[in-house]
Amino acid sequence: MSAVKSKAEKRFQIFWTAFFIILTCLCMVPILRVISMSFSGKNAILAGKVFLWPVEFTTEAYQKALSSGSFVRSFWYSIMLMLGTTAVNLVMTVLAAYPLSKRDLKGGAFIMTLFVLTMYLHPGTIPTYLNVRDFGLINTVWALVIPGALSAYNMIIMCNAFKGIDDAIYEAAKIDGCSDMRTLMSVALPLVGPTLATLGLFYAVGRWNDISDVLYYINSSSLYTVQMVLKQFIESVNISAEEGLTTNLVAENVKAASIVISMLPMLIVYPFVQRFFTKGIMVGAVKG
Amino acid sequence: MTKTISRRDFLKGTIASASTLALSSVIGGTSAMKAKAADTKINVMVWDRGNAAPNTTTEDNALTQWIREQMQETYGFDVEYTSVPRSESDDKVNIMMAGGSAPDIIFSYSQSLFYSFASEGGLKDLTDLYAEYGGNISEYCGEANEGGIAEVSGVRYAVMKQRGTENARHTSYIRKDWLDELGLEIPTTKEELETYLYAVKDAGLGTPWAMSGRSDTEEMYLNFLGSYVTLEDDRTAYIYNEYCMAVAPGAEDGLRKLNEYYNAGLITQEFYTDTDESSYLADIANGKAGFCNGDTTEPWDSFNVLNTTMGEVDATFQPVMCFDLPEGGYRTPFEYRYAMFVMIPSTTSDEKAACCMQYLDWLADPANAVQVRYTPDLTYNDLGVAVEPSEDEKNEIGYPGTCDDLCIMNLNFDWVNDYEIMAQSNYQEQTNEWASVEWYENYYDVCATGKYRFPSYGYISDAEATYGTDVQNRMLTWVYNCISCSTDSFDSTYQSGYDELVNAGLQQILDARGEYYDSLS
Repeated sequence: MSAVKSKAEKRFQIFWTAFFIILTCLCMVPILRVISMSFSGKNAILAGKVFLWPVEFTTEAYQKALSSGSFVRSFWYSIMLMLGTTAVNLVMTVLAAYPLSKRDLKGGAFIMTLFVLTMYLHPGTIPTYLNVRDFGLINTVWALVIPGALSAYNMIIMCNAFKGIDDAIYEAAKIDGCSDMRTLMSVALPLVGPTLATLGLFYAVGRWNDISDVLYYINSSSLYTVQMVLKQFIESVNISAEEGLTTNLVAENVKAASIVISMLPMLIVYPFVQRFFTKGIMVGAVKG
Repeated sequence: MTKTISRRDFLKGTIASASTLALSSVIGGTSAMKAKAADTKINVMVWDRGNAAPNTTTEDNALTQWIREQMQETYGFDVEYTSVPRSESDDKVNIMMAGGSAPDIIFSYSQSLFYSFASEGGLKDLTDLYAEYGGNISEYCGEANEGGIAEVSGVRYAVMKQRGTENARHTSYIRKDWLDELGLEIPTTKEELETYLYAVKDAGLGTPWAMSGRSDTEEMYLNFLGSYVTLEDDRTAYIYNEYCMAVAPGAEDGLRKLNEYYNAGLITQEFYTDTDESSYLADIANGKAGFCNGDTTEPWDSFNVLNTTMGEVDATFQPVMCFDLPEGGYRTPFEYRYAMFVMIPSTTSDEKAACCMQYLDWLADPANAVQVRYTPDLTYNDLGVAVEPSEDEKNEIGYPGTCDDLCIMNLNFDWVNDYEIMAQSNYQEQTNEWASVEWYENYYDVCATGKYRFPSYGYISDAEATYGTDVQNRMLTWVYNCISCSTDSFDSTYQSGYDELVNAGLQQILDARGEYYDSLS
């Protein structure tokens, strides 16, 4: 009986492993195609010869993308903005989630309800724009930081992570003379490290990819994020006739190179944070 | 009649301007006007394409600095720029208008956006300002600004940018080498084209008619369908124009013919899935297509690849006009002479609005426009055509990647509609020699055959504003369905799709157009 079950389990394992390998390959196809386009020559692209492997290998598209003043400037600006915004996001999330995780907080349920309401009731683009404008944030970097400083969804995850810490640990800290702040910094935060890392990645990816707030609130191209510059670049890049004489460029390979460059930070960071992912999300999910 | 100026006129104009400036500096009245404007700073929208030169921005670079200096010297007011992402331009302008924080000069290609702003009181009445300050606009951009396109209920709410080269909207190309191989002449009628298409199929040379399935344009079939439609008068032409050509009287026969071609294997079989045109262009470049019809210069790069592969100039595709009309002759729809709507929001003060109109009027003068379009460091080639500095030079000086984006009033320079010069210029600008001068001259001749412009007015009916986009999207899908359905089911596909269009608001749009045209007379 157990042997039959073992075979079934084995078949089950083989099936799902094969399924996910195929699924992963399918997901990889568009990425690999963009990478191969970025390294391919003009004629090969125009003739539709490029699929998963570069044809007429060239790196000129990267040289072109990196020579754009807007792209390089916005790239570093976006990295700084992403780091700064993520730090603000995490501080705000922890500061909201920690007190709300305390069962004895008076009015805690009501405050949590207010947070939850923001997930369902969105005021709309124009009212939000008017609000940001009236606070004098239009065309400042703060317009990209403050309106999205706290995600109610992430705050609830963090709150549950804090609730997952045994009350006895808090009591022990209190007996040892820890203040509330010291308890948070030295006791609670180290215990929710995986959640913090996971939410940090959520916030960072969100900031890196978001262009809607840049579109609405920013009027100066010096404050454009790399994704916004990339979008303009992709949709309107033109290779001049003069460049075509001496180079191997066509709009498609410059676009592809720009996309690859913009993907790099996330591709680099993700493997280091990935190990926290499952653990971070699951912390606090099961009570008892 | 729009005037353009030659280089000699430009020099004369420059001297005259300099003299006028010298004189005006002596006249106290002008000084007083400048002094009044000295504190004024207008804010002008500029498109950002992510291609600013290193260490510059779209709003602050060598070209914007130069324009600011010109404004301060000429009129005494200052200019600042607001960056608007090109790809999201209309959305951004809409939000800024709603928030009351739009720049003093905004622009859009969207007639519906212009009409919406104008009819809701969002724009400044420019009638008097245009009469007072719009001398250059009237003189050099007259073609674009005539016909009331910038007016709503008789009030001018915009000035129109004048286009440069007069271009056909769409052009057909045919494989000359295949014609020779098949012993056929360049077709001049649809019947002769049909003979060629069937001959290509029978000889197994490739796909007779390469078509794509772009979802944002009707370029692949529009000229063909239009050749089945008799436009009896301007009223009919206005009602249907290109936008509704697929439902114009007679177009059904054209659709039926395309359906016949598709089912006979003459048209790319899965064209509707090729929404980015990559397969279409690759088929042309790889020599697998015998005929194509689309945006006028779009396939040139693919022709280049093919001719280069063949190792011979003019080896393959030739421009062709063979969509003859029922009444004889041809109809080649051309781009309108106007480009975008340049507007001043109603939130702009009267004083600033006057400065804005002066700014636009200055930009309308070709002597200034050419320096904005090609940079103040432009040179002229031996054809008298302006040439902008190279990309590296522009980066070094700090000029933006697309100077054209600051040239928002006039591109109608004196060489742009001299097709001989344009053919020579195109020939010289080739990345590598894939076409001869004669090829380009033939291209302009073919494009000019049956040159036609549909009537256009500033008015947009409520029905069109409400249902227009949806009807247009549905119409494209319907046409693709009609082309690709089986021959037996053509009638039912046509009728059910047509009924759906009518239910979606098509008839109301057509009726409103007819009523508006009648109201004009």
